[in-house]
Amino acid sequence: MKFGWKKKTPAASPTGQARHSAGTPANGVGKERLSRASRRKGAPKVRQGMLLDSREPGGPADEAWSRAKKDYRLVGTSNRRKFTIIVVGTGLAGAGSAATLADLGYNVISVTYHDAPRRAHSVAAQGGINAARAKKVDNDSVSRFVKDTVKGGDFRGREREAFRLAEVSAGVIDHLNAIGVPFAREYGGSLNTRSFGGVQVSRTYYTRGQTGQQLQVAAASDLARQVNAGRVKQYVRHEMVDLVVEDGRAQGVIVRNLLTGELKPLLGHAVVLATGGYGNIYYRSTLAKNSNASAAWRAHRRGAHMAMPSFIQFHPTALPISTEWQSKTILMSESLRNDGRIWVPKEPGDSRPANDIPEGERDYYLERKYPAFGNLTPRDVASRAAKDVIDAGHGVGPLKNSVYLDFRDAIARLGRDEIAARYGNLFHMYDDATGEDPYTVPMRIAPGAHFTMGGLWTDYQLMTSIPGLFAAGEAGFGYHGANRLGANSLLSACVDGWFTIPNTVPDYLAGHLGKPVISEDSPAVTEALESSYSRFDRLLGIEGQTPPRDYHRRLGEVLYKGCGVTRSAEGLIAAIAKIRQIRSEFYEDLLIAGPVDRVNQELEYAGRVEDYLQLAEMLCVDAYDRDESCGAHFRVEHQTSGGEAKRDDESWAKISAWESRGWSDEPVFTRHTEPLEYEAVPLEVRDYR
Amino acid sequence: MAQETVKKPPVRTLPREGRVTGADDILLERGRIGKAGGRIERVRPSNWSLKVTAAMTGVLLALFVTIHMVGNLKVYSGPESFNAYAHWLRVVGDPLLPEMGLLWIVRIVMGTALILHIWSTLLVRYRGFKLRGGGSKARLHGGSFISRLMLTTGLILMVFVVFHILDLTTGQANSDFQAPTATDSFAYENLINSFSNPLFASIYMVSMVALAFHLVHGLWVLATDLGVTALRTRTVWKAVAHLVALVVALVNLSIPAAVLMGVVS
Amino acid sequence: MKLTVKVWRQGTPADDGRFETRTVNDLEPSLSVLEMLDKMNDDIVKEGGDPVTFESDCREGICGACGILVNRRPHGPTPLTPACHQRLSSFNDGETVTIEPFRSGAYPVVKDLMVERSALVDVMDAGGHVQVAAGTAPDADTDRITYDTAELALDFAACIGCGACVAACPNGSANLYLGAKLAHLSMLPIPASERGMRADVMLAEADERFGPCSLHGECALVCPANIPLVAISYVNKERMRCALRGKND
Ligand SMILES: Cc1cc2nc3c(=O)[nH]c(=O)nc-3n(C[C@H](O)[C@H](O)[C@H](O)COP(=O)(O)OP(=O)(O)OC[C@H]3O[C@@H](n4cnc5c(N)ncnc54)[C@H](O)[C@@H]3O)c2cc1C
Ligand code: HEM
Ligand code: HEM
Ligand code: SF4
Ligand code: F3S
Ligand code: FES
Repeated sequence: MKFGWKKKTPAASPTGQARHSAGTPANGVGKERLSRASRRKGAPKVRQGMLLDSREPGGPADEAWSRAKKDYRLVGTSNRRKFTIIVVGTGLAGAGSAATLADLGYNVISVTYHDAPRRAHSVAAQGGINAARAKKVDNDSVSRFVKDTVKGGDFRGREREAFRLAEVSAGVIDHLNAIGVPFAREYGGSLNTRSFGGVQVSRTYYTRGQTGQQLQVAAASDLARQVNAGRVKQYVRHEMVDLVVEDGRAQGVIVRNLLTGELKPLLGHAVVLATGGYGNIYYRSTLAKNSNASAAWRAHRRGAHMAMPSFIQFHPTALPISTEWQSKTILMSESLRNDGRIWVPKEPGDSRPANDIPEGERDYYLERKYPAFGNLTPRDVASRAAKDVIDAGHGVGPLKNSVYLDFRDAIARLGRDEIAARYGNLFHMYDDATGEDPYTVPMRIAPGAHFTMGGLWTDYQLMTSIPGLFAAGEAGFGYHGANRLGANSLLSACVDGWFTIPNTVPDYLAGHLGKPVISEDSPAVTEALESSYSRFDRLLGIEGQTPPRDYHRRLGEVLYKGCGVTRSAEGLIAAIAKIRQIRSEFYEDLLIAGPVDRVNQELEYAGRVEDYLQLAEMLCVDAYDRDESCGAHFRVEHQTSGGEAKRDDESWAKISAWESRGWSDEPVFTRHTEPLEYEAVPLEVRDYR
Repeated sequence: MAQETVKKPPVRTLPREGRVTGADDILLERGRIGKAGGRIERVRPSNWSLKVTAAMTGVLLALFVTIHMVGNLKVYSGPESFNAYAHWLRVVGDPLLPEMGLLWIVRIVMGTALILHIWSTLLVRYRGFKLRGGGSKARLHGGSFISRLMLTTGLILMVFVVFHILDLTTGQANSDFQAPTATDSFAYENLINSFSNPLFASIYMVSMVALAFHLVHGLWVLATDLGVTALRTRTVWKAVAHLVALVVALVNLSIPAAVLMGVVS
Repeated sequence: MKLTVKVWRQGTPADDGRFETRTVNDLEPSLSVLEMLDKMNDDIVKEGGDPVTFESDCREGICGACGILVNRRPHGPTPLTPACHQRLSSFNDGETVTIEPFRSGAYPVVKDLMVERSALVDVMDAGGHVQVAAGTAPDADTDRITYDTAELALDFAACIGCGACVAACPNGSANLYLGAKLAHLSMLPIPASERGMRADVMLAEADERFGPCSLHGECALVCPANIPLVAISYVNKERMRCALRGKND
């Protein structure tokens, strides 16, 4: 069953010529790979898996998507209502796929743990959404978009998928505009764009600082239309806790009704997971408090591979933690770095108020280390530099964990009014969030976990290694490689939701015409239901003294330290040991307060933390195993003299997709690989200098 | 200490069949509590039509009091003029209309408007009262001081209108009332009689204060109920609303005051 | 700092509910009201009690999940600010703060501070959408929407769906929320093509769930998205337009 997806099931699409023969065992399959690194004491043991087939269409990369679509099988209009598709998540990816599949005529069941579809975390994105519409004469084009995306991802993403992203992007903007997103306009009435980090053209569409919100509300309204028409059955306050796999295919999910506590199966012909990213594993991140890894992780536990879970983007301008009870690190726009100067006191541990520290005792470390770029160095470089000075004891703020972003000089140079005009709303937001006035005292910022490039491994059709299970949006791993370009993830969620899933899911379904939805008493359903019940009952039965938050907080500290902005072999080994320690304490001393027959947020949290405690280990194993630096994955052992990530294309121009087993005891990890090839964008060293 | 307070309940398990007291099972299945979306059961008459009715009748009533106020100004030009005006009201439209024809038309229109106004506004407030939810809400200050008084001032006005008709039109409330004849009206004398009584005069004056309040918010809410969205129009209208309300109420108020102070007699 | 909190406890929608008074110590003025509740819950849990249920998610003022009455005021003392951004610095050390669920006829209490706001969703489901199939939309640049129109539409589109307007309204009316959506969609050419029908069904659904508006104006004082009061006018404007034209557009 593990590799069931590779058996050419009738469902498998004949699309294109597989560029790698399916299921070829890599050298030494099943054996522990004893690389130089894994000979260390306590190093995680990694088994070599199979070579995976991405089932990308062959031929020229830039025509891949149209060729793929040409070959996809279809389901006739009258047959569509015979299929039921379960879509978990109502973010851009989830709402888009549910709405579009329903519009095409399929029965759709949409699930979210929120009380309303519109609350999905896509709502919080600020900056904008990219599109290669190439309307202006700044020489933007589909291929330039692909180049930026592939290069931005430090050559660890699929080139053909980047082409799909670029090709479909114009349609995404048109659709969103039609369903009510009031995109920013020029005075002449055409769409306005801004420019984002990592690119030299202006292709980011936006609505003030609330692009995600406008997109999400529009997506939720698209979904609402189908709910109203009776084509989507909407479950709210239901959390997916397991996947039902029968006959080697995903045929349903087990959900928990958060109002009553009970579990129940929802069954269908295919399952789409659009459940967002898992950055919250770091305890404090820029994500919403309830975003979590559970859906993806439970799918993984049922056999879906996780691709490069350690690829996580840290944002340099997040708000730091000032007190123990501060709940998260809110994201501040990167644009602040245009005028703000970043510094820390020269003296470690200096606890004077910022304005009392004389000019001579301030270290403008970015300007010092990177004279050419100064405060505008790329995200990952800025995050790493901040971590360096904080680790060296120069951190500021009550917890000594942040750096100053100072507008004093800019205000002196441009005047308060000009600064207010440029950043007024951001300053207001900062004030809202911290109660400090950035006009008079410098802002404090710190790197915060922000976006997960890693996620469920999917092929070009967005199908995971379990047939019938699809992953869309941030829950999947596609498009972004080792580093995501600003404003590309809203796009990828939209492309997946409105355009990819509605083409690829029918291709899969076409092979299953006439098959009924499995019955609620079938063995797989009962097994999944029972194992979920016993999982929760076991957690409830621990009856210890420590609430889930405490474990999560500790886990976050371990991960920020061991598998954060920078990683090292020793650090990762130490982190794994600590994670295991926390995990065993969790199973001994967990306390779930409150009644179980009604809303119980502690119980919700406990389930999520249990999953984090497992996924965290895999994160570290992946980071350890990938013995190179690329994009956001920065192994201190591999850096250029300038402190840039040093890739090892020879051994690591490939995707790692993880399988794990034996969680009741000591887990065993198997790494399957998918080699990456680049045609249109030749491999080169990423260098923004 | 903490250990002691932790009472170990019997081992808990997730409910196999979930239920929430006070919630509809069919909805609960989808994760919701409370009323279903589903098919719309239209509430009739709809809120918007009630509001438009209140607004339209409000316009008529406001026009009436404004014109009535202008007529009342004739008090200051002496008994002949005022009585002649009162008489004219009865015969206007002659010979096209029978005597008091136009007056009755106006009476019927205004009576209907008043009834519709009272009906629609009371229904609006009743629906709002039912759906406001438990607990007491803090009073914020969003101009809601006057808006919350609408019901009170409206009821005062209702009582006032009845009293006023009994006083100056039919005379039951006015002991020295002189009914109009075919050729003459004694409106002026009746009015002086009535207002010379400090109690009557103060009823009038209090009612006029109520009228001012009612009109200030009433005329402002009109713009919203009739869907005026242009910001400049709204600003101008708000000023007009305040002005009209004040002028109507002050001019009317001045009459009993003048009688009491002996300026008019 | 330290606060005495009178917090509403209610087990199920059918329960009566009551206030419980607790003291929360070691607070910082920079914490939000919700973070104070987090801390209070931590105390409760460690004493073996049932933590107070309340909703929140993004904690940065955009998802609209948070919503409580603080001293009987929706979201809290700072105007136009969601609960997740209400700072404790608004209170004095040692002050007593009352915390309750949003109150409205349309919001049954689920547990403690958590209410059911699905009536807001139902209104959107009824008509707050645009009938365009994916892939069929015309080029977004061919519709010329002026800068000002787009900005104005965005002013109204900013609603985060928190439902505080309803909780603030003495009539339990959702007209600010409703008007914001109707206004936003009426200003954009493609969504405007079904504005008559939209106004009709959205109002019909809202009539069932929410009270009518008497222009008390309190909604606009608490709205975290700063939706202007003129949004209310769009409710009747759009509906009357539909009635007078008798058409769907
Ligand atoms: C602060 C911030 C700012 C950002 N800014 C930008 C930007 O400017 N531009 C850009 O392109 N990207 C940005 N991003 C990234 C982007 O917002 C996300 O990658 C994208 O929105 C993800 O969308 P999604 O549909 O995959 O998932 P989400 O929107 O996260 O939706 C997840 C859905 O899954 C549901 N769900 C999850 N687990 C379960 C479960 N177990 N059971 C049931 N339901 C479940 C949730 O209820 C939710 O509906 C930003 C991200 C953050 C955090
Ligand atoms: C002749 C006197 C009156 C005038 C000129 C008048 C005028 C108005 C006007 C213009 C409005 C605004 C209508 C809207 O658009 O909502 C209004 C509202 C109202 N009126 Fe009157 N009215 C009068 C008498 C009354 C009476 C006798 C009552 C008694 C019940 C009353 C009760 C109300 C109420 C409660 C409202 C508020 C409606 C709402 O909640 O929106 N009015 N009035
Ligand atoms: C202090 C101010 C007012 C004065 C001096 C005044 C005076 C009069 C007089 C003298 C009459 C009798 C006319 C006649 O029968 O020939 C009258 C009639 C009437 N007034 Fe007033 N009035 C005042 C305020 C108001 C107000 C505020 C209202 C409404 C809310 C009102 C409503 C009426 C009505 C309905 C009639 C009866 C008209 C008819 O059917 O004949 N009046 N008023
Ligand atoms: S209009 Fe304002 S208060 Fe009402 S739901 Fe929207 S954001 Fe909340
Ligand atoms: S407070 Fe209520 S009455 Fe209208 S203006 Fe706001 S909805
Ligand atoms: S928690 Fe999202 S708006 Fe407050």
